[in-house]
This record gives sequence, structure tokens and C-alpha cells, in this order.
Amino acid sequence: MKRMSQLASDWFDFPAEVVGTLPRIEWIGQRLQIENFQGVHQFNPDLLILKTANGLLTVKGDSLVMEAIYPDRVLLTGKITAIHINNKE
Amino acid sequence: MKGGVVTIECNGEHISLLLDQIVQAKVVLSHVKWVNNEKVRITVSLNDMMQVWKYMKLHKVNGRIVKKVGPFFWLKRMKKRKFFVIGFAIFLFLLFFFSSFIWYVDIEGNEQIPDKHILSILQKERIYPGQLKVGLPNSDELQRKLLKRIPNASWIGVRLEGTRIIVTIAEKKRVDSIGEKKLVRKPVNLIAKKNAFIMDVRVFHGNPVIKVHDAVKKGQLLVSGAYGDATTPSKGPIVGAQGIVLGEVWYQSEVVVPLQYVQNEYTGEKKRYTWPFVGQFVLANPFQTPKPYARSVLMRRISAINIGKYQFPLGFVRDDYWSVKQVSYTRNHPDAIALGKKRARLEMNNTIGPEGRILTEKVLHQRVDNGKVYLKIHFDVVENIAQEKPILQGD
Repeated sequence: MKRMSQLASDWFDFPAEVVGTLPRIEWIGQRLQIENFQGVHQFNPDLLILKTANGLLTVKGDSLVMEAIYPDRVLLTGKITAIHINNKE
Repeated sequence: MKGGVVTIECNGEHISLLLDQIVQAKVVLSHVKWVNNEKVRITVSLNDMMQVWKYMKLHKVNGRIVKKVGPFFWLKRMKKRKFFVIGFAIFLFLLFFFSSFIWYVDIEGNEQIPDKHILSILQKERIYPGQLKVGLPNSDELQRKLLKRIPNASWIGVRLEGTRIIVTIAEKKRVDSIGEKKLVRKPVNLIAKKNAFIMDVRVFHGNPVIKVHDAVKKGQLLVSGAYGDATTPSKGPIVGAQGIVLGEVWYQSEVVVPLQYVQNEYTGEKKRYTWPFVGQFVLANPFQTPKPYARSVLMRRISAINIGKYQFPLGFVRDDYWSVKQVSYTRNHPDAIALGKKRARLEMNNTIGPEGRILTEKVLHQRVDNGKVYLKIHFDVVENIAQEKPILQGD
């Protein structure tokens, strides 16, 4: 399944995030939007760990608030200090 | 009306897991926020609340509803206070219901036309207490109709203020109520004030005993107040005499006009002093000298403190001293004579009154003496020589 979609994106020259299940991170000031995540691994005021296709996505910060959380998208605010992806490979 | 949002405070160990499961179940959460290290607050829509609740039970997370917002909860609360809500609705209904009637009809401005008359006419135009406001005719049209029905009014204004209709009436002023002094009859005769030659006789009441071109002496009877015939004027019923008898009279007046005279003239300079006053006392500054010029004219203006209609016995006195100088002038001989004539004529007109008029005038004599012009002028005038004299009865 994953291979198919990757193939399609290569063939048709689509942007990867449109087709794929890869996470897309958009960080504007104190707002962070993460799309295509697969689950919440851990959530604390200073730490958010999300499960993604690439592995665990760690967001470090201070007084983090999830403004909205949809099945595939999360909107995070607060003082974000670091983002770290722990690749599976 | 099922909309609503619930804020739940979760307290448990596996909160991350719980959040994960909730998100996997495609439930939308918002404002996920840690209150302290153990508790997290989530906001979820009312439709998804049961699902969230189920997961919380599953993960042994204690939940407490902190806040409920939305129309669903308003309705719920309203159901609890049913009677209050019904009462309020009835109150609003009654307020609108009763304020849609005319409760008072006020009439103002009428003096002659009685209120009852106007009210009955208004009733015909369907304006009376208890009438619905919505059914009222247009006020312009109404004013025109009322004006047609009340001919004694010169203007009628109708205006609606809340539940009160105010009809303002400006009445026509009658001619007889403005005009002419009433003729008051008194039991009097008219006699001659002075020796004269009768020019005109205008009798309103009474029996004239003289004719035009008669010469009369002072004190002579002119118009008899008793209505007898001409031969016996003092007999018959007393009606009282009233009238004007114009007679030709001669006057001689003397006028003195100085050739040199002194006049006060303003120089344009002035000084202003403002003092406060209390009651009748002016609190002047004793160190300020209010006499700035050799000659001056004082103009005092008092401005008291007013609040509304009430005038306080407090305020300020404004004294303006206008500087004045004396200027002496000389006039030449013909000017002096003209002025003397003018003055004499003015004085003459004052003495002979509004009915009289000057027929001819002539300067009899003139001389200059000690810088003054002396004039002696003869006037031939017509004036009212009638004088009232009470009729004495019983002798």
C-alpha cells in the first residue's frame, strides 16, 4: 500500500504529503500543525510524542496545549523549543 | 437543539493512551490542556461525549464535567425554571399587549373650546382610551380632518407619545376680544375747556346743543348727557354724553434758543470695574478708585447667577465708566430760529393731544439778547375742547 502510493507520487510528480502518509509539519511562531500522524504516544505539558509513519515525532516545549486534535491533524500551541524525529530505520 | 460543548477534567494514569484511543476513534478534541501534573482538561462536543466517557471508563480515568456551554444546556436549565420562564414570557406579552393601546388622550392649548367637545370629535375619528394604536390614521390626515371639524382652531397638532395621544390646539383669536376699548357711559355732560370756535362735532352719545361755526366760551355746555330736546337739554333721561368737539383755539408760545451750547460727547475710552455683590451690597475693592476720568458716565450692568428659573442674590456688578468730554458749539441765527420753531411745534403737539392739529403758525416777534434767540410764536390750532362734567342730580 505504502509502496503503491509512493510509486504514484513519483510517477505523477505529486507532492509527497498529498498522497502519502508521511507527516507534514507546519510551524508558525508559537503554533505548530502536524498532519498525517497516526497516534498519540505521550502527552505532557512539556512533551508531546506522536506516532507517525516515519517513527516517533517528539515535540519539546513548555505549557503545551493541543488547541484541536482531529484524527489526522493536531494543532499545538505553547512555547515550542525542539522538534525531533526518531526515524525507524 | 442538541448543540453544546462540554469541558471534562480527566484524572488518571494512562491519559496519553486515552487520548490516542479517542483520536483513533475519529473524535475531535479541542483545548487539550494540562491543568497540573495529573489532570488534563479536554473539550469535546456533546455528540461525542458518550464515546469519550466510554473510553475513560475503559482506562479507569476519572472524569469531571467542568463547563457546559451551548443551546442544549440552556434549554435544560430553562426546563428547570419552567415557571420563571413562563412568567417572563407572559410579562413580555402583557407589556407589548398593553402598550399597544391608547391609554390617555390629552388636550392642550384650548381656552375657548371645551375639552368635551374636542373629545367627542376625537371619538368620531376613533381616538379614545382603549383604542388600538395600530389602527390609528395617519397623523397628518388626522390633523386635517380635525381642523375641518373644529373651525375655531387655527392649527391642530396630534402626536403620539407612548400610550398617550396629545392633541395641541391653537385657537383662532376673535376680533372683538382683541379690539377697541369699550365705551363706558358715565352720567356726564360735555362742556368747553376754553374759549373756542367750533370746527367739528362728533357725538357718540348725548344731545349736542352747539353747532359747527359757533363760538363758545369756557365752561359752556357743548353736549348734554340728558336726552331731552334742544330747547330743554337738561330734561329727559340721562344717557351720558360722549364725543369729541373740535374747536379752533389760539395759542402763543415763547421759546428761547441759545446760540452757544455745550454738549457731552463720548471720547470712546472706558474703564470697567467688576464687583461681586450679595443681596443689595456691592463688595467693592476699597483700594481701587472708581473715578478714572474727570467726566464720565456710569453704565451699570448686573448679572446674577441663575440656575433654571431661580435667580440667586449673588453675582457680579459690571460698572463701565465711559469717558465724556464737553464740547461747545455755536449755531447761526436762522438755524436757531428753525430749531425754536421745531421745539415750539413739538410742545404744541403735546399739549393739543392726538385729536388736535396745527392750522397755521406765525412768528410774531424775535430778538437776540445775551447770545440767545427769543421767539414769540402764534399758533392757530384745532383741538378737542370737550371736557366731562358730572351731572348733579337732586337739585
